[in-house]
Amino acid sequence: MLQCHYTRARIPALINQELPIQTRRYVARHLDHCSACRAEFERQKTVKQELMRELPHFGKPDESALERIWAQVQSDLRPAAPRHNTRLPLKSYSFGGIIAGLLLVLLLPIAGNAGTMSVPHHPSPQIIVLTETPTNRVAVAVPTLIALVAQTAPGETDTPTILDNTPATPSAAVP
Amino acid sequence: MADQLSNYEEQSPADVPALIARCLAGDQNSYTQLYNCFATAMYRLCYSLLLNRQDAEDVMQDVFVYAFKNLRRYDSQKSAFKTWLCTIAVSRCRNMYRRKRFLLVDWSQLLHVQFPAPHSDMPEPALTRKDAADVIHAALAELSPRLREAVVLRYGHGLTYREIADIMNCPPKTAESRVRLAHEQLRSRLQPVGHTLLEELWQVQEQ
Ligand SMILES: [Zn+2]
Repeated sequence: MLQCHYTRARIPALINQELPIQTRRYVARHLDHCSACRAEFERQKTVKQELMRELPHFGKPDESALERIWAQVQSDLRPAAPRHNTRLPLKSYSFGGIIAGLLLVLLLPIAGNAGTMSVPHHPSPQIIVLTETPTNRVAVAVPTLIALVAQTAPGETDTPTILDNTPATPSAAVP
Repeated sequence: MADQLSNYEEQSPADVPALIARCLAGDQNSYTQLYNCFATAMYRLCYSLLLNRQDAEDVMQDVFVYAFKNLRRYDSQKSAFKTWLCTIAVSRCRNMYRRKRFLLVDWSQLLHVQFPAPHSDMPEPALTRKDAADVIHAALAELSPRLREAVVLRYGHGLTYREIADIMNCPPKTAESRVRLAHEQLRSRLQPVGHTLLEELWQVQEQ
């Protein structure tokens, strides 16, 4: 029983040929005599063979996908090109929520009745209400706020465009 | 697949550093070449980790944009270019599934795994690869992200534990034990429905 336990723990390593020679001998000898462990060994070997055979084929793209991605990479790399892609950098999402929240809090008193913005049958167009506010700073921020409010509404699947230029920060990316 | 040579044949060009040097010198064509060489592998990696085509496309776009913008920071002395790309891809995929934690598992896929009909009068060998892919999809979906990363890098991309450790930012021993755990989990998770299925697939394909 103890031998079985010891062997089971080493079966994956045995299959991957990662056991030191003495351990390998010991485990192999047990497998010769214990049919239960032997069966387990065969099962795991099948799984490994299946993975080795199937994983290199798994998720192969079609060429149209690769061409589409390449076109987008190129347009992202083009220095001065205006960027209006709707799919946004992934890493900025969580910041997006925070900044959208901050903007909301900041503009709430000025916008007056921001709460009504989400009521669908509100009669007056929000843009007019908001652009009537006097301060310059707010006038600049207003369209963004509207975009943010629209985008962070129930679906919350999109990241606001405002964060498009957030610097890339993959922590593990730089070796 | 083998009928004509694809632009995106998965192969490392003989001299990646030279190709990168030409990129850095401003040769646009070299960027295209570099992309073509690694696009398929990176897509497979992203898809295997995210299990969703749209997410894989998004992340992959991000990976190449980042890599090309930071090409100067790649050090060929430290790692192979593919390893460097994998590092970027894994970190981007992690961001993605952290955000979509509850949406990641494609339940429709999980619940509708196609089983081949072994006793059918009409054998359809062309289907077996797709069936196997469905099984793999379902199995990967049930692994935790770390185990999925380890097993995909090991068996899907043939990387060493040392390389996997660099990519996953963990000690090589940890990389090794993650592959082992993935192994054991896949075995037990595939077993109830999958084991006989896998055996049948073997038999069908060996005929
Ligand atoms: Zn035993």
